[in-house]
Amino acid sequence: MRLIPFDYAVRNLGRSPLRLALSVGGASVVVLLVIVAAGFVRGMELALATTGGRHNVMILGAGSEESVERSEIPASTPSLLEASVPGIRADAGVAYVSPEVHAMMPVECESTGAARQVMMRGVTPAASLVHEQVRIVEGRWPIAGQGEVMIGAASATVLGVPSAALAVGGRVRFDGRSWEIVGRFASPGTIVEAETWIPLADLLAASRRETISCVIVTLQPYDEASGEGAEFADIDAFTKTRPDLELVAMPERDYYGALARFFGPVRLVAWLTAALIATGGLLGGLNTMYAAFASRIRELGTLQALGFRRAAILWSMVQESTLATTAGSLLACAAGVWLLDGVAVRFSMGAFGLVVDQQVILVALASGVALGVAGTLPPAVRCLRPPIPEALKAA
Amino acid sequence: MSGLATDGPMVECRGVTKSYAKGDREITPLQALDLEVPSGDFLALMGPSGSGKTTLLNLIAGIDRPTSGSLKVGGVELSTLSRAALADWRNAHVGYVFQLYNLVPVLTAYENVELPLLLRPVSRAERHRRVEAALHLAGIADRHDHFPRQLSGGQEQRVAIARAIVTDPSIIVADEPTGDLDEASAGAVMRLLVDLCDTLRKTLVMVTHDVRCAAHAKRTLHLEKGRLVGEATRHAEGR
Amino acid sequence: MRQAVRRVAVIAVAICCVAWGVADSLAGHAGDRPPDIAGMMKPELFPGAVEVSEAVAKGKPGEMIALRGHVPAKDGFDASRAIFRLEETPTADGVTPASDRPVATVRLVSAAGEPLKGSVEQQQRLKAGAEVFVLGTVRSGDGKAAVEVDAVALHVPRGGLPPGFFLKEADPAAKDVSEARTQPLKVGQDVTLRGRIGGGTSPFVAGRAIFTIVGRALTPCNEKPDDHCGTPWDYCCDSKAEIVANSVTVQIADPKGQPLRTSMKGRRGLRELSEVVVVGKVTAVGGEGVVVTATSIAVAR
Ligand SMILES: Nc1ncnc2c1ncn2[C@@H]1O[C@H](COP(=O)(O)OP(=O)(O)OP(=O)(O)O)[C@@H](O)[C@H]1O
Ligand SMILES: [Mg+2]
Repeated sequence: MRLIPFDYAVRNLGRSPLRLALSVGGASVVVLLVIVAAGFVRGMELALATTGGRHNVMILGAGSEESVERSEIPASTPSLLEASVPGIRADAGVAYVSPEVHAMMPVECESTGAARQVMMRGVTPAASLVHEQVRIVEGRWPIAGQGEVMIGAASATVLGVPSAALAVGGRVRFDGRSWEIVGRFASPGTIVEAETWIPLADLLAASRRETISCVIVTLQPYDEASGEGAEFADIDAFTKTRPDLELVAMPERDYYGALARFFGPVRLVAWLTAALIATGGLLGGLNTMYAAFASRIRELGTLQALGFRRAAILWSMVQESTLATTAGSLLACAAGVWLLDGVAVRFSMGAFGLVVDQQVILVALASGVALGVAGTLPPAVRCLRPPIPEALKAA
Repeated sequence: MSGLATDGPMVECRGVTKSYAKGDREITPLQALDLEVPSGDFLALMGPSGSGKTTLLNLIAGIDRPTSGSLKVGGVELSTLSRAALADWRNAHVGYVFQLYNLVPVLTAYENVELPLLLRPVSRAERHRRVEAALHLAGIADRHDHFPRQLSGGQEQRVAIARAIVTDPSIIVADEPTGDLDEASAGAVMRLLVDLCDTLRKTLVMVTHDVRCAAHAKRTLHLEKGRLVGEATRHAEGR
Repeated sequence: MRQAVRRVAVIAVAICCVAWGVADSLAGHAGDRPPDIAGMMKPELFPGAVEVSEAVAKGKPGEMIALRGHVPAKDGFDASRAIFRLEETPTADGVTPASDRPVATVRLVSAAGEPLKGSVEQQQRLKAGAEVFVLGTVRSGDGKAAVEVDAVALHVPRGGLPPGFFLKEADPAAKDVSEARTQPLKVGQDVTLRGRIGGGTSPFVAGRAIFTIVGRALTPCNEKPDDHCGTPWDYCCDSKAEIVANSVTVQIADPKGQPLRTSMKGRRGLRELSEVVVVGKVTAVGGEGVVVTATSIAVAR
């Protein structure tokens, strides 16, 4: 089938500058909203997927695989692990074995009075070994028994307060006491940034418990030649040798990755909202395109009379509007990258940044193209339907 | 080039009927019509409004199909062609001139004329040669880079005629080609059509309301209520 | 315009073809390097792999087959081509002299069906005495003593089971785990225990020779009426304490006491709820948990 030159589609765009502006503007608004939804979903997924060290294994209570806050395991587990599993990473005799308590607690920012649920992590200095991504950016590590805490870089977003309100030296309240902020840490791109870390002993006391939530160990990667190091399977096998402790082992990344599934409904709502808005935009677009094509029916009939196939004409019409929506999508993508990438959002587990990466851009461009195609086909088909003699009589 | 049989009439209608069902009523613009147009003829179709002139022209041009009867153009039975085959046939064998020119507004005169050639396996250089020749024949070569809105009605119709002849069709049909033109332009367009018919030996079927236009044709047929009435009027041979 | 695009496309395709050809011929004339078989190696064993004797008896030319065996101590590898032999793994009971063991010849072939050039000895853990799993098509077989297989995938456990680990016949005197655990088990004690693999949603560990078995005192969910549990081997109707008290952890260990680096699931038909008889020694008792290090295992029918 011979096609109509691409030029024809391009020049048709110039017929009505107002319509062109509407198509481009409308498409960019719709696509921008798609970018917000996709950036939200992607940001959440990435934050969860990149949280956790590559060689880290989390040992927690059987049955609590979906939320470590519910897990309770004996405080003796870390030493057992250290003694039973060769190949756990160690530097200068210090093993990378971090006993931790994870608990959601209402935390109040004393200077503003704002209070929210915050993920608290009770840690020992070993946590600084296993959580390589975590870096103290200001202040220092909190000391047990002194009423000190260290907050993540995204804490201000979590509590909904300006970051100055949570500066080092500031105070937060939980468990009916005031705690001093002695440090701030960053862990870029992970949801750990939304946490507040306090000495393990202090959190055990504050939450009145004797068990810990989990142990996180860093494995020395297994080397076949020397037989040194360990793999996840070794920790998994260890849990089998102590069935009485009711432990399960999970790669730390898998734990956070599984949380992404748990937030499926949130993602669904995000996509649904985007789809609804896109549908609204599409309906508006259909109307504009119909008006545009209806005024061209005689021309469409002429092209057919000259011998062009209807499919070729349809293709040209699709090119025309897809060109407009793609231009709009590109504008939206540019705006998305400039304005939306990295914008912090809160969610129940903490906070993460919107991510506008290649995948999101791809989704955005695809939705722009889909918008163009879906917005063109119905009116174009309708305007191509009349028989040629009738079309030639159209005004 | 045209590939149509040259012996025998160019157009041959046998009992051609066209009817439209409008609810329970049936409108029959053409009723058992017989017509022969020999090759190289210049036929003018006249008749009151609604008599079926455009309908007949559309059938001959292959943009519509008869309800019944046989319609052969250049020896090809049009009613048996598929939709796609008919489109290709039109492109190869018919030049259509419309009352309202029907130029594509976003294309220049040159590009408008080039349009039907884009459907042919013709090189760019060959296309250029043919478009220039057609524009030249239509006497509008100097305005080739103008857009339709920059042309007068008469000039637009010249471009439209160039577009109709650029594919070297065997038959040219024109529906009131001068209907929207003033007297002077109309005369010029008619002389152009007569010239084409004579020099290029094209068969021409033209619908017109204007007796002065019809006077340029070799013969005139009258259509009334879907039937040909009276005898064909022969004009002076020595014209 | 269209023509220009077509021309560019044709040129691009032509360049690709030439590049491919050059790369291909370079690879083909790379001298006498050992064949590259890394792509064939799979990280997990092929569940349901049959013993060499069964492959010999049942393998029909053209059929896909998964088999396992041991590379013989001597003359296991072809010196110049990617061909090696696998012999029937002897069981701890029915001892057959090496000369009478059925043998499978495994060929690693190119796309053209020819054995790759170069020996595969010492490649990818393939060596004399290694335990090897092979997935491939049967090329030929006499139905009695030998079979020839063209491999499409191989798995060589990092810690292969020693030959003669499995027993043909289960010791009828074996004690049920539940019964054995009514008395405290002590480290160092020799035991012969019978039990069913289970006690959790995943009683096996992928890549390690360790699993848990449960005694007859407990009934798996699928043997209870009106139960539609998808993982009946987890004994989820019983309390965790009850399960721990009626089970032992079985491991096949290296000299350091760590479980061998190989999966047990899929060997000799082992899967969840398979009944096994384990001969071994109690090597650890921690809390209520007991670990038995096995010296042999029989799969009870
Ligand atoms: N699609 C259609 N459906 C129903 N009736 C139609 C249709 N097209 C044409 N007609 C009818 O056919 C008849 C002939 O119409 P046609 O257009 O051929 O007339 P005409 O001779 O060209 O008139 P005019 O000189 O006004 O252009 C008219 O009565 C018209 O109403
Ligand atoms: Mg008419």
